[in-house]
Amino acid sequence: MVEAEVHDLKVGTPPLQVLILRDSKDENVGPVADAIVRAFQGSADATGYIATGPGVGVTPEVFEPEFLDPELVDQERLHDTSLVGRVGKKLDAACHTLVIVLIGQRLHETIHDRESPFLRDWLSDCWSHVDQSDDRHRMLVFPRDESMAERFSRLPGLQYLQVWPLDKFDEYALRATMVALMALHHARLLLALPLEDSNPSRGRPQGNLRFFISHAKLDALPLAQALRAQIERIPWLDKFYDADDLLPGSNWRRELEKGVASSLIIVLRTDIYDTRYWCQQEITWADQYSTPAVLVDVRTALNNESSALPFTRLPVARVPDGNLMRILSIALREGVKYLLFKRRAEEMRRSGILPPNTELKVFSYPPSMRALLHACRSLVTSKHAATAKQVILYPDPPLPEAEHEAALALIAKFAPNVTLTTLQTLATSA
Amino acid sequence: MTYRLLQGCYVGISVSESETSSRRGFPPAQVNRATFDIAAALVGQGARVVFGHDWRPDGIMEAVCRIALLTTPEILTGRPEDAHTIENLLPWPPGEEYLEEKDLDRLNAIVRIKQLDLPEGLSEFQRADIGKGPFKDYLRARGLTHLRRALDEHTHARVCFGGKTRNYQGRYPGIFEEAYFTVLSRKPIYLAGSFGGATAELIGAVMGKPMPEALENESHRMREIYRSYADRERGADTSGDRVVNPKVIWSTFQELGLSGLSELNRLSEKENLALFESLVLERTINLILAGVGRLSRASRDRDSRE
Repeated sequence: MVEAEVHDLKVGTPPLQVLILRDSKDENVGPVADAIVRAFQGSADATGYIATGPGVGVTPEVFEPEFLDPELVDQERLHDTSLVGRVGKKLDAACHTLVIVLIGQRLHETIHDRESPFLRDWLSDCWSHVDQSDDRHRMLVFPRDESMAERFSRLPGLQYLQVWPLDKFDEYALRATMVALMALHHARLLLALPLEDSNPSRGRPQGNLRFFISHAKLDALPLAQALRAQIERIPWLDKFYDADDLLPGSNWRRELEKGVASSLIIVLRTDIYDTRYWCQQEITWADQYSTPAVLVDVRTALNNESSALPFTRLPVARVPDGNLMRILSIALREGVKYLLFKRRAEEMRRSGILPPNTELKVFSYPPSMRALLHACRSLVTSKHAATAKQVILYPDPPLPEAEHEAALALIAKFAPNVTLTTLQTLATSA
Repeated sequence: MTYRLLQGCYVGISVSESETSSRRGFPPAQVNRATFDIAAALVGQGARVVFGHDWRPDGIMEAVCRIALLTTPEILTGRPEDAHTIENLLPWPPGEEYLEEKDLDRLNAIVRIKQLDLPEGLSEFQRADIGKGPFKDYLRARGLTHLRRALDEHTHARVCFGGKTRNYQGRYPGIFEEAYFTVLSRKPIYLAGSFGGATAELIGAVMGKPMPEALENESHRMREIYRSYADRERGADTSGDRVVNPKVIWSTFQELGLSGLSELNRLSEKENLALFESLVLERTINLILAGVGRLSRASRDRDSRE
């Protein structure tokens, strides 16, 4: 069989794939696997603490251990793209791969089966590849409890792989959610590290994400403080996520503009939010600078007046039940979505679908007219305007026809050399 | 033009679980999700997607209808001709779609559903009470072939993923027959190896491999049934459809080869190999979009010259 040389194909390498290994008959890890799948691909199921809604655009692949047994696989079959014997090729098929192993009783027994070492060997090969990947890939292992974790860590070739026993993850009811958040967090780190603008220079670790909380102090302080406390009580979250107030003035505007990939705005929309000058400015600038953002609607009235503020593009969380994890899951998801989209755009440039000198303006959501206007003005005055192909990219599906025509008219007037398009439109025209 | 580049293009989607799709990381729920992703990508670019999938409680059609709910062109453009981004053809016998009348009515604004009959040569059995047994199996298989002919007539291109190679109801595995008719019509076909199954077998044929004995063995039962009942059907023009010979399909794809496939689907040989081998759904979708996009451009160029 001729191996395809995919590197010179003009299709780009997908930025991220998520692989989950679990035994479906292990009942206590089933909810954890489900929570991870829902965190990435979205769900309408409101059970648990993970937010509903669309996912980040990554469909996790879920594997059973028996399918890693080489005796079950015909290696002579053409195009058998299973994981057996080709774990490196599978992991390297994307820019980054996040491998998640959920160990319940059955998987634990299979791993330690003396007669049949296939799963131990596979895990060792996988970890070896991940370990040598220079942080390109990650492997997260979640044994059911500490004693399983200890036995796992004594396996040859796996001693240096960090494991997280599930029984250390807070209350039982929260464990699936916490693991799913950790998976989103690690996915975000994988995507963020190669990007310069995702690494703020404040003595914080690479990949740090700043949650800027936009709120009216008169009635949102308790919620803002509770959210900050929620982040601080989770050690792995606290190390990487700051929750700061947005300070009045223009300093944070520049910081937002420079550090879009390392910033996310959480808007606490209380009853008086819309009437406060600085709140209006913050949400307007977030729209203008295309900063990822999440809206937490905590207004108490049963009906509200319409608003001219740009809330429509934001994912919305409500917390009548006090579930602040819902806010965190949406926020992390938005952070991952933004980075995924930005990396896909970079891959388009790297693979030649976009010329190398393309100047890109990337939106992780369908842009408003205000945001488009700001982008046009920014591109027209850019130092590369005369020499670079300039493209505004936003996610699929393409805008509805009327909005698309309006956007084209705006661009034709303010930045006639700029192209507005989506990634799949670029793929279709490749 | 940089907007909805596939307008006017009807793409048939032949996607289903295979015996190995779970091993490849795609258990049934993920197959549904992947079907959604593929269909959404095509519809987002203005194409119409055509399925010959019945409404079993496996979720695929429900998942796909969500796409139409997310992108409702008629509402957005006000043009009735933009409705029905999804078309669904159903094989004989009717009434086995597992959807109630009210659900079908509700979906009618989004999905154009067309119930097909048996081929004309079997019309006398259309409403007969046949009961279970080999003759019913024959009629069902003929109904499926008739469906697949209609799917081919109705589409400009076909995308194939997965597909069973055993325990199928037609004279051949569904994806085999759908792909075969597409190639006979000299229409573009995209073979994605991610889910394995019947599509992976066809990839093997394209690459010149001999037909596995298992495929031949699986066809014995239907061959016997067809021998028993084929002469009960009238009509010389369906005589080719009343014979079971998987070698014909295999040799068609062998003769097509990689270069023939590339000529049909406008992907380079390297791109087709990448599609065969792609381990990541996103790349698979982008390759399909690239191929269909080139076809669409070529068609528009031809039309503008005429």
